[in-house]
Amino acid sequence: MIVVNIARDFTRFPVGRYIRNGTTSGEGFRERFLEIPIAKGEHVKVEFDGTVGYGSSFLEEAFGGLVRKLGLKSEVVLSLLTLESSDASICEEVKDYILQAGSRQ
Amino acid sequence: MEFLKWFGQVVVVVLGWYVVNSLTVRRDIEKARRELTADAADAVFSRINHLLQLALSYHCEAHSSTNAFSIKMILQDIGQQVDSLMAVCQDRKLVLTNQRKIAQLRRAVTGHHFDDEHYHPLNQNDELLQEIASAAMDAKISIIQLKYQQFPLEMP
Repeated sequence: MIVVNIARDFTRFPVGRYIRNGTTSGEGFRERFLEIPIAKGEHVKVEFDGTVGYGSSFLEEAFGGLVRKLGLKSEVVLSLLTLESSDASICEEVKDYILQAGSRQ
Repeated sequence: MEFLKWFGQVVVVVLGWYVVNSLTVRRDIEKARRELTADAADAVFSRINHLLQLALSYHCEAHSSTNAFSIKMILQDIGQQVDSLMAVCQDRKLVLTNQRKIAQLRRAVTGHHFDDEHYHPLNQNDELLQEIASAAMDAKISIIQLKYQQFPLEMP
């Protein structure tokens, strides 16, 4: 299993949705850490603690965008991801985005 | 005979002390748990009010990275405070409801027109502001319910 700690491996200041507006965006995170392993069917554990906080646009683009970009079913993406945070509302929100993105396909 | 009588009295006194002491300790722990939960709920309530003010100014004014960071940090603080209530609050369903309300509040405040999507200040009648106010109100009602649920009319 690949372990990604967002604060340690990416940034402590996750900002925004699209990469055109900054490399620490949700799209930037998705492209760098999630797309390749998930497309290969590898398990990824994402640790959310340690940053200054998340905007929903970052979370939606990183995780909802993963379902849209790879065209996978929500259940498949959820089965490959392990989400860990001391704020459980973040994990719930991310799961919602994955499910919503899947239902729109 | 006299000794047995004395010994019996001692046993009764010791047992009585033990029972009363156990009940007192249990009551004190329960009281502390309720107070801790109520204080934490008050703190969350106050943070939501602060967040609401900050979020409304952020969306109605020119983009401010400082305010955006503050909003995200406050949301994170609130989320962690609500999570920690799991350890002390007996009704876990109520804590889960609060977690959902905080997720909805985060989504309302930071889901649109936030960070890189904030191109210009919103009009004061914009629907997003109503959505934020509504999510903040729901979160506040939820945390207030959790607080007062600690003090039922008929205490066990």
